[in-house]
Amino acid sequence: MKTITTLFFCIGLLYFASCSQNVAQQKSNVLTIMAMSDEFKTNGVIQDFEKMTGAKVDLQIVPNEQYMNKLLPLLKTGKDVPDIFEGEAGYVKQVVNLGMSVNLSKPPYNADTSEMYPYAVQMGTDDHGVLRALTWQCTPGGIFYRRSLAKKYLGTDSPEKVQQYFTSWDKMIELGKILKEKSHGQVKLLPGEGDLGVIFFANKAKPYVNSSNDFYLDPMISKFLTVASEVRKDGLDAKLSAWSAPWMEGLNTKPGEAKIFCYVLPTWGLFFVMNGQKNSLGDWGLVSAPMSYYWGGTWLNIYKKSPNKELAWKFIQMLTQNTKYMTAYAKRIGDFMSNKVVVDSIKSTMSSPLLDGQNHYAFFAQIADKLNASAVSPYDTTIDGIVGAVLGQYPSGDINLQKAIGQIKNRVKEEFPQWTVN
Amino acid sequence: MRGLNRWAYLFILPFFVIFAIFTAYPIISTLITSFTNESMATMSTKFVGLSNYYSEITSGLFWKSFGNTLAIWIPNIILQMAIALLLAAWFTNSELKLKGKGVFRAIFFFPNIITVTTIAILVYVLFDWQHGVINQLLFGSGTAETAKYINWFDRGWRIQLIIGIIQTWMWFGYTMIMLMAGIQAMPVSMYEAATIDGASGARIFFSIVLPYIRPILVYIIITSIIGGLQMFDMPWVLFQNQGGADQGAMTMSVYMYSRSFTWDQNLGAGSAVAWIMFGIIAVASFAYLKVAYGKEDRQDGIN
Repeated sequence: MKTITTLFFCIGLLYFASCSQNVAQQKSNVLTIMAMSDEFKTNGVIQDFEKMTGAKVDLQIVPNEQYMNKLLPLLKTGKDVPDIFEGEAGYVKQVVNLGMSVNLSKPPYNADTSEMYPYAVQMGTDDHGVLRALTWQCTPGGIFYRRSLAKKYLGTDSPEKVQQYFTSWDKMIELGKILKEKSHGQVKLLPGEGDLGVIFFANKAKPYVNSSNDFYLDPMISKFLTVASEVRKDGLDAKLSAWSAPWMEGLNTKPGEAKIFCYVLPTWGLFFVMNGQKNSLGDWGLVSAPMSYYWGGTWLNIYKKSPNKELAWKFIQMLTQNTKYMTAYAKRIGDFMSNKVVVDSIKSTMSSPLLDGQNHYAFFAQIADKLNASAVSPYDTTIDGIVGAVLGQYPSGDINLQKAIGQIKNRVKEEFPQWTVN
Repeated sequence: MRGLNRWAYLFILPFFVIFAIFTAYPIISTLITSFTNESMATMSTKFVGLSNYYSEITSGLFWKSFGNTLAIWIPNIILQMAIALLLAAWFTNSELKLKGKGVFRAIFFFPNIITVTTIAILVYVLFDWQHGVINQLLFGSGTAETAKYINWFDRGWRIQLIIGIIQTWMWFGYTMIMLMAGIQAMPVSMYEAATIDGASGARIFFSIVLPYIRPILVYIIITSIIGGLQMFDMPWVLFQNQGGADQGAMTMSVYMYSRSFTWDQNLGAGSAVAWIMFGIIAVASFAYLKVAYGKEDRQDGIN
């Protein structure tokens, strides 16, 4: 009996020991940021911030796929929540609607969004119209094509001329067929059919789910399945899965050996993915996709119970409000900023050696103007994933569209049982 | 004497403390959560009774995931037992005079000590549709040959078979060593008596060795039922929360994890799945024990 008492005593002791640590987080000179990548460090943002304020930054990195799994329990228990947490485009709407981030348009923050691209502001706004998160960047996308292949098979490598082939989906498929014919099947239009998804996902007219939990499958999804299946059936893609090793290799092959005509990538594709692919340096040109799109992006939230809100705001302020800093940062990194005035002031001076000197900045600025985020909803990552998984079940490209749509709806119903799916 | 006893309790205390914190508490906490609508996505929680259990038991995908788990586990256990038994019989047969037994034993055991994630990534690369070694070995690498390549991961049953075979490869060495240990523990006099009575090698194996190692067989199969029904890592690393083609790699554990932490992030329903899984595994284990030890010879069963 005595031992059992001792046992419970020990458990109780441990319990209280763990409770005693549960005191409110203290205000400090250290700003904790939970980020999806180390870009703030590699791009020198943290160093700049530390120099500017004398504060220290504790950067915790959680990969994108794990981010919500890590963040949600922290928010739920209220323990060790970082001062700043992020939301990626695919789930930022869920993050801002948790009610865990401060209202940035109210004092003391009074964030000025008048010069920002409207879509970037829309993404960080919750369902009640309250601004909860801000981003420093904008992520419009384009199509990066191989200049060497364009010259060989189309007789020109100038973006204006190549753009003709990307004005509609039919034209793009036509181009794939030309390449296939002239190269005897050696050169493929795209690395993989699934790469096109992001373009269609960003062009939905309505969100997947509305406030009363009714699921809506936008016609863009069946359009995506149709175009992707045509690409696959006609043998126009290299059948690679995105981000796989051969997919990455296709970005780095030498001009003479390239077999993949173009890649679908946004702004960050240029300085995160293509940057450093030395073999293909200068062999790329940039044109717009048949539909304007954006892909990804990171929005910063301040935790509403953080004792360091002031410091956290200083960080976000530097990145999203301080035009002088933003200009210097954009010039240094080549990142495409969310602030129109900053973009306009530098866009004429930018060019990229990867693109053989083409001005990507002016190009992306045109696209950013056209973007719209009204169809973004909290669970986009998961539902886009369902669409991709269902498409993957038709490797020959022979899609029975009705059946595929049925499968998508069925999976949505299984994964979100509380939604109405018709 | 009493003083000594008290010290003994103190020494075993750490186990019970750790057990209480890391095993007993989570189990009870999961049970409580399974009666609520607790979700990662919303900050409020309320009691919902048995409705999570009801919705999971009536969910088609849950039973599909159960079927997937069996479709991976059953071929795996049959193949694994067959290979392990055969090898164990060979390695313990003194008449064969096999050389280098120790080396083979180590080689066969080797896959078991590699982390599953590593193996899963290896599988992903080997079975890659366009650039995987398997297709290149089977068909060659010219343009005409490339057209024949098989997309290994585009059918649910193929995914299940591949995972099942990889599991077999990972575990047959371990099973073999367990069986060998059992066979070697058999008194030599039993072999000798059987040989003198004129029994053949096969006869000895089926009539004497197999019954003798039955407790070990039971142990292996029970642990395999428990491990197999909980299979998570390889399907997850390969296909994450969509389970690959036809949702073929969506095992019960993947379903439970996805229900709790991805999809609609419904911890309550996920906890209910955990408890249903616990029930299924318990029933399966007891049922097997019942079959393995019939009523008449229960005494000589587990000992």
